[in-house]
Amino acid sequence: MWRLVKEGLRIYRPVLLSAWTTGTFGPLSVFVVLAHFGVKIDGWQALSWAAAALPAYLLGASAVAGWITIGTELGEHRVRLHALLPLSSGDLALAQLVLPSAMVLFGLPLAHAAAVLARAIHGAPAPWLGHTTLNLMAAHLLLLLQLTLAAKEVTVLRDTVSWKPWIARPATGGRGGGSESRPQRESEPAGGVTLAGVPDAGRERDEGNAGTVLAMLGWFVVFVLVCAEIVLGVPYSTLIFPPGLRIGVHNGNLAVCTAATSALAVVTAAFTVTLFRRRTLIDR
Amino acid sequence: MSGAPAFALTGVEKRFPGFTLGPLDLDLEPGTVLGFVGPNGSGKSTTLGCIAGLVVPEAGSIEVFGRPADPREGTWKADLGVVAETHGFYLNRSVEENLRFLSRFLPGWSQERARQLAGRFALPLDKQVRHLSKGNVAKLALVAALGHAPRLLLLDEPTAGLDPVVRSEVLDVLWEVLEDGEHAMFYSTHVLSDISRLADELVFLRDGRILLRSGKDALTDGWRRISFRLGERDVAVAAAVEYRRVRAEHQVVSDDGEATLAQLRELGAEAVEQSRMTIDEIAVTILKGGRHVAVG
Repeated sequence: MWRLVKEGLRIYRPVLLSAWTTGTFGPLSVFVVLAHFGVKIDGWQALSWAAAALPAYLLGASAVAGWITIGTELGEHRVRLHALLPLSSGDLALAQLVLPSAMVLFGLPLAHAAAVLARAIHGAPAPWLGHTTLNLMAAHLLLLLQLTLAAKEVTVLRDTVSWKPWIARPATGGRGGGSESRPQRESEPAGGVTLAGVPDAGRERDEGNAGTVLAMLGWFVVFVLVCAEIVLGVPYSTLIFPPGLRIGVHNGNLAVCTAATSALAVVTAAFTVTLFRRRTLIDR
Repeated sequence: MSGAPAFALTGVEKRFPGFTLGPLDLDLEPGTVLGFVGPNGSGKSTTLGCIAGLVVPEAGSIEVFGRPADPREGTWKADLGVVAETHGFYLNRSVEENLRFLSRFLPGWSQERARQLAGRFALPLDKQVRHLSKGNVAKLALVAALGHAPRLLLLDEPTAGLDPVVRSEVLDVLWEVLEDGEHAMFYSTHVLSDISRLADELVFLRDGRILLRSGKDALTDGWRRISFRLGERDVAVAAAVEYRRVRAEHQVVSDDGEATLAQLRELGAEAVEQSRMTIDEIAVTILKGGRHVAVG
């Protein structure tokens, strides 16, 4: 898995570097123009304000690079190539998650360094440039990347999921593709389902319906995760906006919020890996 | 594991909305080429996907060289070279970089062999995959599948959409690969002219079910188109797959020409004429659902 991530980082390194460059010099150039005209923001010189916001720009640019990576990998059907390599399905799934996340994580120390630099320039830290705040922002961005991947996995679930062994696993103790799986019994209805512990429940469903149900379930889980993200995150994620525009309730503990957001990201990632490992990778 | 079949499917079943593949029982011995023939949508790609670990079947078991083809454990894929319909190459990277990427994962990969194959195909190594023609992408897929000298090649219509010249080149290379007699090849296609040259055996698939498995030579030797004259009534002809009669003129397609001719001699049929059938004609007859087709 790590080799796949390493190769991915090598291949997408130009994307990350160009995102950092654009994400940094783009806003800075705007503020240079504003500073030229003596514009002040919240009592700060425009350029000082921009320098103080630089860590946020770097983190945001890293996340954008992550999204570009996700989109490119999807658009170019990368999983088709990776699935032919001698790697387990778990490794493939994890590599998909880790690659864009690594980009944010690479941006984090850079953001911290920029915060230290900004602090040195200004003499005193701005309240929204603290290292714990940056950690929280990175956790949010990681979670959003994971939510993106989870949503993607849910979307492809409907048509390609190999749902039957997933649902029936407790009853059969096996799955397709392995030597332990069982052949279908004659008595089972064609295209039907035998839901574990729910006798005959599957007889009225065909595979498409079961896929729809699973997809809805998946969307519900993603929805719950988004809600949790909003409840936990909005007071802090808005910190990437200019000071004074903060909305939501400040619960006062950045470290706890960072830990909770990170935990949500891990739960989301686990959800995505579970779906990926169950699904068929090609359409019929 | 020596002596094990290149792959063995046992009771494999995969369901999609409106389509069920199998249950399939199919195996392939090392050193043989199996042509997997069927119309579009018959389940060829799904079968190949099952063997390659791209499709998780609902039931049944799959073994590759004696090892369970379990997606949870991917090392068995090192023996596979796959050309699928969609490739997933890095479009913004050069051909060489894509091949180098594969070399880092596939044991036994020889960049030298890959370069030689690319040279054979006149594949521009420094060109981005995005800018390759469809034919060159197909060539790249083949080079990628052959670069680590896999023992089992799974080819899903590798010449689809290629012009005759490129198609011929591809078939030439495959022919050379097979010369050592150690490679097994599963060649899925609905273009019979491709595999009539390569295949040792043919499997005909329709609606997710195997209709017939037979040696190519047995097919071409056994199948005959026979016409004869014998009264103005239908005759129950041995081994007949298709039967037509206009007055006293009878026409039969037989999957065992000798048996049919022997019967006709006994019946005293007149003006008996027979002709061999091409693989294409045999395939069309089988896939159209000719009667008395025995499942091999």
